[in-house]
Amino acid sequence: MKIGVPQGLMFFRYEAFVREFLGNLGADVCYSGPSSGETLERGTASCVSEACLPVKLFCGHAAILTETGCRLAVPRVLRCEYGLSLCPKLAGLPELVKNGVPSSAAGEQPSENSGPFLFSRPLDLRDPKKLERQLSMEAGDIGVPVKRLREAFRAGLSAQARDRSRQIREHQYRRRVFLAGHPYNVHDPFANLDLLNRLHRLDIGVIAGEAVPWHEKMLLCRSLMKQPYWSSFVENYGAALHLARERAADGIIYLSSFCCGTDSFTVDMIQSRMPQLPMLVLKLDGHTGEAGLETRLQAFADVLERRGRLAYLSPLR
Amino acid sequence: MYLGIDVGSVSTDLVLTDGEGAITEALYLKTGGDPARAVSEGLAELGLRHADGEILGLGVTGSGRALAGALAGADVVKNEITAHAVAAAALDPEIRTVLEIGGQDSKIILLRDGLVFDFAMNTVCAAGTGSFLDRQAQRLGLSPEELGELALRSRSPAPISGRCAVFAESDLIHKQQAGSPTEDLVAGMCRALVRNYLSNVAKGKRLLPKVCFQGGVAANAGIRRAFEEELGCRVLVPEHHKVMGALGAALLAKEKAPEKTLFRGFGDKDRSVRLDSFRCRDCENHCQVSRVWYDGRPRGFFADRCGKYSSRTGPPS
Repeated sequence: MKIGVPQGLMFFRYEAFVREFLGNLGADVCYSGPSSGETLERGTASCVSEACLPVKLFCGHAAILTETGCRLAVPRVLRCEYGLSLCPKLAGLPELVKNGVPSSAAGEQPSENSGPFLFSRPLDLRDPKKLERQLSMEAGDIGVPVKRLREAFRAGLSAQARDRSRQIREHQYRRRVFLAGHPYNVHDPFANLDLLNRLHRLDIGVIAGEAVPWHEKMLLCRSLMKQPYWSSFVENYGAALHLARERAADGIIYLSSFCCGTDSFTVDMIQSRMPQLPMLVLKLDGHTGEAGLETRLQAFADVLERRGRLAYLSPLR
Repeated sequence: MYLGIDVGSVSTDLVLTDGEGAITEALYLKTGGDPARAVSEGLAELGLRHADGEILGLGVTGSGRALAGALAGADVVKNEITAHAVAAAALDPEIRTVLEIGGQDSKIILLRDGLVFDFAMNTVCAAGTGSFLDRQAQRLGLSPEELGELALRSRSPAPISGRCAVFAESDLIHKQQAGSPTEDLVAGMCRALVRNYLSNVAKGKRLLPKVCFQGGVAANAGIRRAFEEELGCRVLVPEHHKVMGALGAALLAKEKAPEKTLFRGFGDKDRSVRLDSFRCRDCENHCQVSRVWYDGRPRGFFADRCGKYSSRTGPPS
């Protein structure tokens, strides 16, 4: 059996694990490749219209992969490895995809419990032992011995722990910004209209949230009235505060998807906590008109330049 | 003399300034869905009174700046936020807040010592911009200016929802059918638009006097009064409020003072100008590259992500 992996959503966070784990299984794996215009087109056609851009892109990847006869891996991730909740759309992802992909293409249901997709049982990443058990239940479906799956799982975990590829911290540019947002917006150059290269052309480098260790981010959330519930809140609010204290960033660019629930309050809380730091909020919604984006970036570059000079003149401001 | 062109969604503005930066001539044309023609017509009209050699530099701005730059040969291509800020600061260095409402965009720019300190723009939708006002004026059979004058006569503005243009229109129609006089309706609409602007675009920002209101909507006296009521201070509307972006572009060209301008001349109105586009398949981005033809020959390219074509738009041939 061929396993099809849509390169969307949490793939951008757990890519190292996924590649190592599936590679070690010895199964035939087919990756959908980077997002493209076709992904968006297919995703928009096969997904509910209220969904955000990254969910649509995931559905597009899935729709394209089903045509190759793969059995799709559509994980249902409930909680991140630190125990905080992820977006509810990730918990309902198998249903979101299933209802978009034509039922004939989704394939016959091979077993009563697991539905048409692989890894669609609820996955809780907090407890590796439990996660291993949850994943092992799929061994029969995939047609590999449980022992091999367990070995592959451990190899995957250590690959994920070793992975530094997303911890972007660019030093070679004149200005630096913290690029906040979900990993599937920050690390998908199609979704964000090639934002990193646009910034580089404006002599602005980027720091990604992954470059700040989780415990540092969590530490800065301790003083909040209520402990955070969403993983993405800690990722962004914690990292913004940390980088501001380190004076590592000249400003923040927050990449948000149109109608994202967790971003809506995360953006406001960062702004009200750090009103002195220039912040630009970009909303992604599958626009291909780039004029509006370019205008905002160029103007933001002018602001960073201006603030940089001010800070130089009076360091206390 | 310096020339500035601002190609916006609704209007295309051209401004000529003397060596001191004062406006000597200003044109305000409807873009009418064909920015290339609007630019070449505007140039041809100025060409009736001026020789090509009088122009020492050309600056372009607005959402169509890439197109205008490719077509006319620009020395400076600048985003409209910086352009508006430059124009306001030249008008009165004490201006610290610029409210700008155009056809599809609304923005706020905060200036300190004549330089952009912070800015924000509306996000995806055009609620609370000129297009909404135009549409309502049209529905009531009024010109946009008449609508503003009428609003001033209202003693008790009707409460209108301002969050969404579609809801606002329903609200307006319901209140109209319930017998509210037209002046109260339009005054309520102005107030709703201003509140929407202040709570979305200007959210969390300190608006300090002097406040300058520019863009096409600044012609609307009702909106201006609503701003004055909400902000509790005088709101200045410059004489050339409609063409401030073009003025800023001309001033930026003057600041740059190129040794030899890239300006390709005014041309005349008999020259054919047309646009087409093609899809570049050299990489997986599949950019829709736009091309502007002048007199049957390609004159410039834009909207390619990598710059392979747009970099060809060099000095005049």
